[in-house]
Amino acid sequence: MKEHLKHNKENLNSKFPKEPGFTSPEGYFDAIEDNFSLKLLEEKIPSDSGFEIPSNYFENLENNIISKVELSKKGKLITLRSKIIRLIPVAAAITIFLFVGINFMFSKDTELSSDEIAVWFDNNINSISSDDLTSELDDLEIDDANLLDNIINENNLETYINANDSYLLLQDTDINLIEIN
Amino acid sequence: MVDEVILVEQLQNVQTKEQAFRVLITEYKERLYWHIRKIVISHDDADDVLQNTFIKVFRGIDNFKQESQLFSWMYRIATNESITFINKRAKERNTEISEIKQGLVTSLQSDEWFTGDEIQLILQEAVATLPEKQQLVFNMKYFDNMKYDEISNILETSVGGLKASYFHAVKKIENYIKTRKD
Repeated sequence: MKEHLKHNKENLNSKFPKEPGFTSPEGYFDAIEDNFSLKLLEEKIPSDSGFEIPSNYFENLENNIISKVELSKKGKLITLRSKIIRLIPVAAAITIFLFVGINFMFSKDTELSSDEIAVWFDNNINSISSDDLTSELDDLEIDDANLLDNIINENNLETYINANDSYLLLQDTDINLIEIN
Repeated sequence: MVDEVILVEQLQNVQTKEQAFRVLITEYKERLYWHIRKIVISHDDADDVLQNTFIKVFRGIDNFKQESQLFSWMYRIATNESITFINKRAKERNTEISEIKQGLVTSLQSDEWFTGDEIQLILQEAVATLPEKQQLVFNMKYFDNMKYDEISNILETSVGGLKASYFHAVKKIENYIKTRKD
């Protein structure tokens, strides 16, 4: 081949391919904008978490963990036996509790009928004291202040005095005084 | 770097199990610790969860079939243990998981093992607001510099899904920080 043809462009192109042989991952250029904006965002976030650990924490970790593994292995060996032993009194207690509870529930009628209450009340009316009643009726609210205001106000008192004979009223007062004294 | 296949064989052999387990702890303790710590926040809780993780690994190694990498399998156990820890605490206190997470971050202000400044505290608050998956992906990608392939093996999620989760997480965190600073 003649010298001037050796360095001809076409000749060089035929010997050295134009393609460099590099390739890029599939979809690389589609995501490049997102990757770029992601880098920008990442730069605004601190790179260190700020967490610390006690000094020498990692040094003894192997021994700590292996001793726990050994303990859990030993625990496993006695677990079944000890569980059975521990379950015996628990099972006995549950059996007794159920026995007593079921007997109690089915043998005792805990509710009284309204007729039974009425009969009992008729028979015992004289033996029930007002103290017993007030102690049982503890959810009954009596507003003492209103009671006094409503009954013993001046107008009511005046009406009461005018409507009753003054002699009888004095007699009542004397009786009360005698009782008090 | 320890050869995982040989290590698993030693771990599954009664004669070599304990020694191999010691090697396993030495090899992975720090990476697992930091992974757990970023989820449960406090050092004491991370220590408990890490130890439970290794105990579970020890008990389960005989059934490990090597269908995934040993490291991915351990990371999965650590992740599950950490999430279980948070859920259990929420149940004990009869409250929402999100409230527990926010409470853990709030307690960082008085935590002797947290030396971060205000912006790092805000970052932890922001991470705690993320949905669980985004939180995990963000921690693994941003702080642990893990590759999407590795995260994909651990979380059993497609790489495309992980990329989307990470992008959303970063955007939310950047927004949160910006709002708090303004």
